[in-house]
Amino acid sequence: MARYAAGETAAFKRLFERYAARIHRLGQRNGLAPAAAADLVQQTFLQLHRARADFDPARRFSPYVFTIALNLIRSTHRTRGRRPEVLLAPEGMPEADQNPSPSGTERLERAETAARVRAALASLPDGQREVIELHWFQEQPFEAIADTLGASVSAVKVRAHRGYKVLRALLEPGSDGS
Amino acid sequence: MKPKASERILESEMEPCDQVRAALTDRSLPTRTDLAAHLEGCEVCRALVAATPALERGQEPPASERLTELDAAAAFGALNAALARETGLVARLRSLDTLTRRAALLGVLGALVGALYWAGFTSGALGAAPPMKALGGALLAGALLVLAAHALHPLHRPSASPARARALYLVAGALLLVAGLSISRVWSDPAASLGVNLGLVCLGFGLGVAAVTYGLFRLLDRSPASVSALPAAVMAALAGNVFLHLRCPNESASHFLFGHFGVLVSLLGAAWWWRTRFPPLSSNDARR
Repeated sequence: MARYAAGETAAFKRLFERYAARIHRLGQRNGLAPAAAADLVQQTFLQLHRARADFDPARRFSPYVFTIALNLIRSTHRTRGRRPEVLLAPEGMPEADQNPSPSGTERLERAETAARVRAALASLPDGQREVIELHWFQEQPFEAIADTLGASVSAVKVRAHRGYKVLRALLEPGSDGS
Repeated sequence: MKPKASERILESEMEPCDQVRAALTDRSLPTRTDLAAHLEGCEVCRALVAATPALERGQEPPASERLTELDAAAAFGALNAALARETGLVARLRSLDTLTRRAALLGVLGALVGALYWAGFTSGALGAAPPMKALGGALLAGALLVLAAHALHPLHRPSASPARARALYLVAGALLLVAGLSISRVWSDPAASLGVNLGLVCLGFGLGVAAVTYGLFRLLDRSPASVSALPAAVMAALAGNVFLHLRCPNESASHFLFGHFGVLVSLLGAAWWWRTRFPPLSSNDARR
């Protein structure tokens, strides 16, 4: 980012290649449809371009870009006046998945599990869900998550602790997931 | 759906908690005896280890449930097209660093408020008015400057909590009411009670000043309009009210509520409508 801010335009493409897909997944896990998640990628990088003069080379880049993306996601959900919706039953399931063959059954089970994980994540308070999204799915260190969310490292760890405990309770075999 | 190895952070840079997470995702935790002592004493990591099997089962969903991959080439093409439109004076203003943009906005608004005070005192209008009027105007001017700085909050900084932002808007609204009603001497002026008298004129002037203020703000704000709609509306309404507070001779409370406070109510309504109608991302944004 520092190189881009200094005028090296090729550096912007490298940032895009490295982060675009991750931001796209971040958007979808936070309840955005694929088209809106693609819009999130574009808006995030447009904001990065406009904010290039604000970048501090002494700081990590990932909190910078994830903060923009999360602010846009939050703002989108706020304008809709509700929390992100979650797919409990996948749309357009292929025919093979509906057949009770062993592979079809296995795929159905995996689809159900994935849906339960998403539903469990969506049921967490925003603060815990964002920490787990960044920590588990985006593999960000706690220090970078604290930077991204504007919280202390210890506050982020507390949210992670609570979130993982709730997820475990919701997803353990035998739990009804509710 | 995990980041590629090249996207990961070097282990040597990691804190023990992050090393545990990395070892879990690489499935190397059982061999990591160096992390045993940390696991023993860290509740966060124990909760993570306990939740991992369930999270991993949801990690690689089948095709029917898999997250849609981004068409990177198309996305980069669209981004380049958007960047190509980022030219001209407005684009340059929005690309200024946040400190400069804030200084520009606060400087212009501060100069406008200062000019109003200067005109008010030199014409004798403020000197002859009750001291509460000048004090109320000063409080409104202070709130205006705070809100102007808040409204230009850049997206790359963590946002204030919604509760804190709502508290700020409530304080601004309450300040406006207190400043206006504290100088109201007439509570039941029949001529103004319908708001037809000077109320409409003040509402028009107030909205006009607010529109100019909002236009100045948009020149310097780089976030999508719906993101900053509410703080910008409150800021513009306060600018309109500073102007009205320092120049309007009508001391009727009903006139104030219609002609002055009405500026805030109108702008908040417009901002709310704008936010819900034009979200920052495409409107078909939630999973159906």
